[in-house]
Amino acid sequence: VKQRLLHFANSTIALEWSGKVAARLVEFLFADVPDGDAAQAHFTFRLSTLEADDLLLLESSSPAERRQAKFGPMGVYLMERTCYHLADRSLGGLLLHAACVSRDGKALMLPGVSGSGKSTLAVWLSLQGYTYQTDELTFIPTDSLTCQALKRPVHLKRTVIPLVKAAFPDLLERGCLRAGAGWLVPPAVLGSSPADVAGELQCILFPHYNPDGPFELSRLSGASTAVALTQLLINARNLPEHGFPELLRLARGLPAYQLTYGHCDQASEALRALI
Amino acid sequence: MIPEDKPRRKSGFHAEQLEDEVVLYHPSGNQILQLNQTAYLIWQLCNGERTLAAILELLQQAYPEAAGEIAADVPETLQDWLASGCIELT
Repeated sequence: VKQRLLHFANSTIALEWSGKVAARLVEFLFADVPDGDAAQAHFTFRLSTLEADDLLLLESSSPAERRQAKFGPMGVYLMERTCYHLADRSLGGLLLHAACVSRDGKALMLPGVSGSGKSTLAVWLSLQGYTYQTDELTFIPTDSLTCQALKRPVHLKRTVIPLVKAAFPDLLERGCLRAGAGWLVPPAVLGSSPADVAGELQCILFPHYNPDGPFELSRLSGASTAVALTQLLINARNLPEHGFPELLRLARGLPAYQLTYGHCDQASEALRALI
Repeated sequence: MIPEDKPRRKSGFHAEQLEDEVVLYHPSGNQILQLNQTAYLIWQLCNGERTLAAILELLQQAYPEAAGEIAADVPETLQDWLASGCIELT
């Protein structure tokens, strides 16, 4: 049994695995996630390979979890559960449901709920010269604007696959993993390495994917930004005053926009001016 | 709400000015409200002693050109705040 520690947002969990298939999945999912201190790990997953059916088994105790799945779907499930358990003990800053890309040490955060189009936009920006940081979790330490991003494979869900194939015809054939009806796109495919850190947060952009609607980019007021970020703050219960003072600090200090888009290229010129 | 109701701000809410709006939040829970300056004025008038009728009268005296809108909108706003738990009736 081998072990890997995953550290992000001041939270650490352990992942143990056995078997070659499990090892391959761990490497695929977490190659870019920093190691942590074993003494700090508050939760442990065990991933094992069930040779007969090419199935993987994920188990944990306290709380008890047990799930079998094939390689791709297990990848999606393990990423989701990893995010959940890292967020559970995250403190010392704001942990937001947000994608993030960067350029020249400046970060652009894309907060949004599942289905808002943040992953697709992050992929598109990454193929336009930005550096991919994360499609799901962005952490901003207290009193800082230096982003930390959980650099994991981008999870492209079924509904956006036609859009992605139209915009980037050969992307999914470059070392990506099929996961049920969706795909996982590793950071390396997007040209991002562990050494590419996010940098200083410069701008907040709330994406909203609407294939039938017009392109729209509008500036948000500070109050609207604070309210919108509140809905996407994951670790509020771990923070002093539920993180409100820090949310207000971001809302006061950074420009924020609402972006409605149906095609990635619509956003091109408008976004270049933001960062 | 009825005109004799006396709305009162629930204690513990913090008000923060952001540009020309105000954000109200309660540090003990995941509750945040975005108010324009007029809404913030209404919020400040909710002291638990003033009735809804008195609040309407004050606002209509200050903004006579909007008396009709005030009569319609203020009770609705207070009802929303009551439902979201940021005011109570004494």
